[in-house]
Order: sequence, then structure tokens, then C-alpha cells
Amino acid sequence: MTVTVVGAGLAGAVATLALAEAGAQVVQIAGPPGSTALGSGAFDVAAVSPGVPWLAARDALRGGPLSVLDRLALLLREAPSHPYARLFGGDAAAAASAVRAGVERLSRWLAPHGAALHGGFDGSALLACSPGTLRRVDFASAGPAGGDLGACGEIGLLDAPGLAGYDARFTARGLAAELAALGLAQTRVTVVPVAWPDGLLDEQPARVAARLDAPEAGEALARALRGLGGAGRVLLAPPVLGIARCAALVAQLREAAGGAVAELLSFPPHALAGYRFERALRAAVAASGARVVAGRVRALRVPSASADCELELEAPGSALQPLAARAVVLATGRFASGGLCAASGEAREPLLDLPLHDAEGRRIDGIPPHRSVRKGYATWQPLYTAGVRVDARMRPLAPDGAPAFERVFCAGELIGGFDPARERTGLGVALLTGLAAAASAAEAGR
Amino acid sequence: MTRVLRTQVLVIGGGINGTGAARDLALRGVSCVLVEKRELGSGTTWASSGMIHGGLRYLQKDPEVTRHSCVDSGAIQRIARHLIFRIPFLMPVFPEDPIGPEIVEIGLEMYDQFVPLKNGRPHTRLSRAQALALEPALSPRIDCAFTLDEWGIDAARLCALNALDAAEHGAQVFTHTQATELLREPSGGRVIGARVRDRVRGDELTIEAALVLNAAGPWGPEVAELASEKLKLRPGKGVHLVFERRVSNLAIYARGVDGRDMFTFPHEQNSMAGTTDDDYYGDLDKIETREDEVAYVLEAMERSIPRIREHRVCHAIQGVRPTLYGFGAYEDELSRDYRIIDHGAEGAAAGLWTITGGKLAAYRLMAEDVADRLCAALGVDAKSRTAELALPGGEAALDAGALARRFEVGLAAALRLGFRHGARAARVLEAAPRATRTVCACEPVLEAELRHAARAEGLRKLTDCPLRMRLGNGACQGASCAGFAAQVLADELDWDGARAVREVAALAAARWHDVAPALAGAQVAQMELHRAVFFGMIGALEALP
Repeated sequence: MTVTVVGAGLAGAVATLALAEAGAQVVQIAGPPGSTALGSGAFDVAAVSPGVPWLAARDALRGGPLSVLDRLALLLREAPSHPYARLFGGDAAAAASAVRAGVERLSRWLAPHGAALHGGFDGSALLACSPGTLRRVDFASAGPAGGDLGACGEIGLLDAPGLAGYDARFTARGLAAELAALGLAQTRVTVVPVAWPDGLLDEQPARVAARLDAPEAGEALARALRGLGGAGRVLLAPPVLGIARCAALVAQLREAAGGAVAELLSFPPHALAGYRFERALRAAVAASGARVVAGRVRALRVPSASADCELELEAPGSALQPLAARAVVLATGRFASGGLCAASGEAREPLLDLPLHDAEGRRIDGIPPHRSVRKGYATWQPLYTAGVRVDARMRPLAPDGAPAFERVFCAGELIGGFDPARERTGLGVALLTGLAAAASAAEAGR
Repeated sequence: MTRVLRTQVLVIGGGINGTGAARDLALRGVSCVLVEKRELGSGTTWASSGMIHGGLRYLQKDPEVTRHSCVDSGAIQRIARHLIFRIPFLMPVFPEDPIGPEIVEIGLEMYDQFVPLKNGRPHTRLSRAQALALEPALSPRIDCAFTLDEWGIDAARLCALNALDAAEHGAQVFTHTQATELLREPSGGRVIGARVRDRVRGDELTIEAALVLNAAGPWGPEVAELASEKLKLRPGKGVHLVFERRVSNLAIYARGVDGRDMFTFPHEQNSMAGTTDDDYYGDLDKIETREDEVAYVLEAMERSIPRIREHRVCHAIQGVRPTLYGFGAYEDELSRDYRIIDHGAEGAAAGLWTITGGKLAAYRLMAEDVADRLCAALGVDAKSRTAELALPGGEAALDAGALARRFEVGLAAALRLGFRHGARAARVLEAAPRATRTVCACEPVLEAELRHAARAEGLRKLTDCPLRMRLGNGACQGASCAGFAAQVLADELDWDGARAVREVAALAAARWHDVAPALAGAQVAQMELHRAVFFGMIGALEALP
């Protein structure tokens, strides 16, 4: 008997990898890329400041970034509906060690595919975004990871004329202002002209990145950057530093430049780091021994509390295909990934019609979406905190608060109670709930 | 000391009435200053259907409105040929309709008499099968359908072009500049100008004018009040829903549950559906689309297009009409005619004039009328030239294919650039020949157009872009273009990083305001992504309004 994981974003991948490692027979149903593939390259595991008002205020008092332990403690105290609170109660130390172990495990899975995470808990890195803003980040993927500006003396923005969505002068101007606001005005920000190899630049960053996967192109760029870096100097590039071999390319460029080279954190439509991350996850799953089926689940039936789950699969170009599973991990995401749906005029969880709750505990399924939104862009939007409620074993809860099923588990953003956009803990939640759901599913699948 | 400007006419309000009047006056050689407290056309004009139509609806009660709408439609087609597009209409007749096909046809025959004035084709009657073949989205329950011909226009762009032409003929145009005080003569109380405040920079300016024209649309009573004048309107709120793509090939008539005529129509890259018409007493600066308005429009559309709810509404547009006051009539029955008020003759504020009411389709005629009156008061006897002289870009036809080849841009981008800039599209690219990157893929908008708007058209804010060039109006609601657009504008307008972030945040908030009331279906997922992008990009939550 098998465990089926529905979803190929971070939560689904982590659950699949953990189940495969535990020796379970695991089938992953992999749909098209969802929100994991839209990530900026930052990997936040605890709410980061600035980003949540009450954390920003604490930061101001401290005059520096809070430790991850402090931030987790605040999160557990101030956001009781957050999935971390479900996992760790109020125990920040347990949360911190789970995060540490989880990131290490994920990095181990991803390292062979060139996508290990970099960073740590000893003070988060200060990374630059392509619009010229700054973010504190716990961990980051290979492209942006080397771009910590916290201690650098000089920043050089690599000029890339004609590239869509990137203007080195603009980014430089923005960064200078943000650094000054943080009391780091002594950091020099300059635009560095680059003699880009012939035929490499294009309007589309993704096309440049694909060209840089060819080793000759990488070498040519390394030659162009030779000697441009230096000690205390960080060279920042737009999101073009390769797709499959980003980590190797960054290392090569760093060596040629003679100092740090990193990508800016970038957002859709040019979120290349997220795309790389999801590619690496898919490669890791393919290498794990798990069976991967491309398609999507059209129906999921759980006949009785103890019976097997029955899935109906829709794969491109083939008829509906039945699939039985001893246990199921649902890692289907929220609206953008199809885990929640609003097509019928109401917000719903389409597979099991699970009840959906916002962060304040109100039911929002069966309600037209526009009724669960509020005025003001930055205010809490109940609709975008909504998802499935789970118990500590990641079993979805029925309306009465009891587990709805014995062998169905949830992971990732499908779990509600938090706002991934505001709190930026989406990937951390995906990682930790993916691992927790896998552990529960492995037990149930026996 | 505040700066002082002197002019013959100060126009308050940069909607179609204000910009139209400013152009008319400027072309006659009258010196003119126009102040608009937000972006040109951002009030009632933006919320209109963007149709230069003859007003079939008004034929029964206001044939004069229909006639001058049709006459002026013809004129607008001459002067703004690049900015208009034909909208063929289908008017389905259902078995339960109180007015059967024969009576409808009599009405259309009457309308046909006006149609040549606006270069339209006469109506045709289609059988059920013919109508369904022409427009498969139509309800199969229809008896038959009629066709008629109307014209659409980018109304906000029309304002911008009127203002631009006025400026090219000597007028001065200040956007995001609000009249805060009307200046009076110490003795006689004559209005002699205004104090205005720049809402972006915060500084003040005194404008001394022989005449002040209040063209503030629904805000007209507020402006009149600055001179203690009463102006009574019956403001009517109108809501349109905007679909992220065209949901039908033709415009389709629909009927509200209360029997009101509405329609859904292709408009540039989108389809729009509307409109509502309800008395409005709320805050004019905080107009919100309500849930019941969305439901009312969709219900009406569903009868004509049964699968309308499967299409994605990406946002709503809401505005208030400055309808002339009338007592005891339903909103829909109020006259769409306009009025010109000389507050010296009708009140106690000589020097102040008001134009209010009217239809977009007849804006040029109204502008001519009010300019005639103001010129008479000024003792100027020049005639209006707005019916003959083309608006900027309308002087000649554009070969978009040649433009695309010359500057190596996509044909779609060249066509859209040509739509907004007409024969001047080449100038936009000549001024920034390397700025051929696509900023907004939905529209599409090229970087050069954005640079041109900042350099040559007085664009001041990122939130002006949805009106000037439709950037941010598509499915993604600015998520994929706001950052890039802010970079370009920062470069042109010398914004620092913090200002650019504030502009991006303001655009996000403005789009949310228009999206949220109609949030449904696939747009729910789109806005999830929107939030992830903007929250990620902006970094500091404090910058978000």
C-alpha cells in the first residue's frame, strides 16, 4: 500500500522526499508549477522584519535584527492561529530546533542538484531586491545568497542595458536610500559597466539565464567580470545567473571577479530563483525513488475513517485513472496553486470540501470571496489567511474541530491561519508541515 | 510669497468638459490655465462607457441629446481618428420582452436618421440563427436581434489629448493641483482667480484670471461653494465591470431586472459591462463599488450572455455623473443635457461660470458652446476650430507595420502605441529609440511611451499610468509592470528610491480598491499573487497605504 502526495511545490516535495527516505512507497501527483516556483530566492522560516508591524517596532527598539529565536517566540505568542503554533505550541526553542533540522535536511536533499540553501540563525542576511529595496532573510538560494549587504563596504550593480524590469541606476539609487535609512550610509553604491559577451543579453532575463547554462557562455561572462570585485565589495546582478547550473556559475563568477557576486531577489514575472528552486525539488524527488505522476487529482474519496483513499487522476492525454492510497498528503496550496478554488462563486477546498477558516477563526468557505476582503491593501485580508485547519498531526479538521479523516494529512499553504504574503513564512510552513505530514502519513501508511 | 500666474480663463477640472473647453479656448487664442486635482480624466470621464454613441436611449425623451451626440460623434471621428474604434452592437429581443421586434424596429428606423451623422451603418434585423452564428455567446432563448453601429473611444486618453493640444496652443495644464480658494474682488465680489495647491509638492500658486470656469463635474458644487454659490446637481453613480479580455465580438444589449438598458462591449483589450445609475450622496473622493451593484450588472448580462459568470471580472470602475437636477424622476429618466451657468447673471459671483451635465459623445459641442459664451464675455470674437483641427496624432493615418519594422518592436505594441499617439507614434520612439522594452505586457506599453508621457505629456505619478496608457488595467493589475514602470519614471522624474516605493505602493492600493468589490473566480488567485509580488517588492510594509 502506498502513500500518495498531492502537490509538487515545496510542501509536497518535502513530504515525498521524507516518505521516500522513511522507506514508504510513495506516489507524488505533480501538477504545474505553483507558488513555490514564484519565489524570490529568499527562504524565510520565521517572520522577518520589516514585514510585520509588531516586529518592526521591536526591531526599532533593539536597533538591530531580532534573532530567529526571538522572532519565533513573538510569532508563537502573537499569532496563535499560525501553523507553527499548531506544531510547537508556545515552545520557541522547539520551533527553532525544528527549523534548523528541517533546513539542514532540505539542503541535504537539494545539494546534489545545485540548490542547497545558504544562511543561518546567527543574524539574518540583508539582501537587495531588484526594485532597490532591502529584505532581511534567514536563508536564500544559491543565486542571491552571497549578497549579504550587512557588512559590505561597497555595492556594485552590474549594468545590463535592455534587460526587462531591470535598471541598475534605479536599483542603486533605491539601495542607497534604504541603506541610509538603516544607518549604513557609509556603504558606497555604484553602477558597474559590464562588457557583456556578444549574443548573451536579451530583453528576457530567463533567456539570458538559459544561455548562461552553456559552460562557454559562463566562462565568457566570468572573463567580463574579471577583477571587478574585491574584498568588502558585493557585485549584484539581475536574475540571469543560469538555470540548471546557477550555483556553479556564481562560484565561477566569484572567483573571476575576486569578490562576492550575487543575484538580486526578484519577483514575478522574473522570479527565476523560485523557478530554479522548484526545478531542483523536482530533480530531488525524481532521484528519491518516489513515483511521480504528472497530472492532477480530479476527485478524492475517503469511504470510511479506516478505509483506503481512492483518487481519480487526470493526466494530460489519458483517460481518468483510479489510484488507491493507504494515506494521502494534500499539499495543494491555495488559490494560485489550485488547492483552493473560487470558480463556483464561493471559496472552496475542491477535493474534500474541507471547511476553511481565516486567521481569526471565521469560516470562509461557502462565502463569496469579495465578502472576505477588507478595504486597504496592507490590512489583514481574511481571505488570504484562509485555509484548512489541522491538528498537531496535520490531519484536517471537520467543522466540529475533530479530525475529519484518519489518513488524510495537509501540508503547506493549504493550511490556513497565516498570510504568506505579509508574514513571509510560506516556505518555512511548507517545509515544517511537509515534514510533519510525512511523519504522520508514514505512520498511518504502515 | 506664492507665485502668481495671470491668464484670461482659469478652468477648474481636467475631465472631458474642462480639457475640451481649455482646448477650444486655446485654439481661439485665449490664454488659459487648467487645474485638475487628480489625473486628467480620472473622475466621471474615466468611469464612462468610453462610447461616442448617439444615445439611442435618449431618443424618446431627449431627441436633442441624440441629435447633437450624433453630430458631434462625426466631428470627433474626424479629429481623433486614431483614438476611436467601431463597436457594432447586437440588440437581442427575448420572447418575454414588453416591447416586441416590430416596435424596436420602429425605434431603430428613427435612430437610423441620425446614424449617418456619425458614419454609422443603418440597423439590420437578424433571425435567431443569424444572430447566434454571429455571436455564439448570445442566449439561444432570443427571438431575433438587431444590429446597430456605435463608436468607442479611450475617454481618459481623449482628455489627455485635449489638454496636450491646449498646452501646445499656449495653455498651462497643472495636474494634481487643487483649487483651494476662489479669489474675489474686494469691493464687488467678482471672482478674479483662485489659489491652488500642488498636491504632490505641497506648494501653492495664485492664478489671476478674468474668468473662472468650473468644469469640476460632480465636484462642481464644491467649487461653486468656494464662491458661496449654490449649484444643484443630482449626482448619479455608475459602475462598470471590466473583464480581463473580450468576452464577445460585438457589444450586446442587456436588460436589468428593473428593465434598464445596459450592455457589455469590447473596449480596447477588455470587455466592459454596465452601467448602473443610482443617486449618490456619499463622499466623491471615496466612491466604492458595492456588492449589489456588481450583482445587478452580472444578473443583467447573464440574460443576454448566459455564461458571463465564467469570464473573469478583473476590476470595477466607479464614478459619479454630474447629472442636472430634476425632482421626482428616476435616475435613468434624468436629462443627459448640459447647462452653462453664468454665476454673475444667475447668482452673485460674476466672473465664475459653470458647465455641467452632458455626455461624453457631445463634449466637443459643449466645449464650443461654453467657449462661445466665455469669449463673448471676454470680448473675443474668434470662432471655434475644434471641429476641423485634429487632436494631437489625428493629423494623418499611421502605418503601424512600418513603425514596428523601423524600431524593431512587436506589431501589437506598435498598434497600441499608434492607437494612443496616432501619427505622432514615431516621435515617441524617435525620442527614446532604445527604450523598446515592454513595460506592461497586458496592454502592451513600451518603455518609450512611459518616458514620453513623463517628458512631454506632464505625467506625474505612477497611478496616472492606468489612465494615460492603460498600464495596470489588465489581468495582473500591475503585478508584473509596477516595479519596472516605477524604475522608468524614477529615471525621468528624478524620484529617489523611497518615492518610487511609495508610488508602487499607491498603485497596488489603487488597483486593490477597484478589484476588491468584484473579487471572484480566477481573479482571487491573481490577487493572491499580486499580494505576494507587491509585499515582496516593497519590503517595508509601512510604505503600503
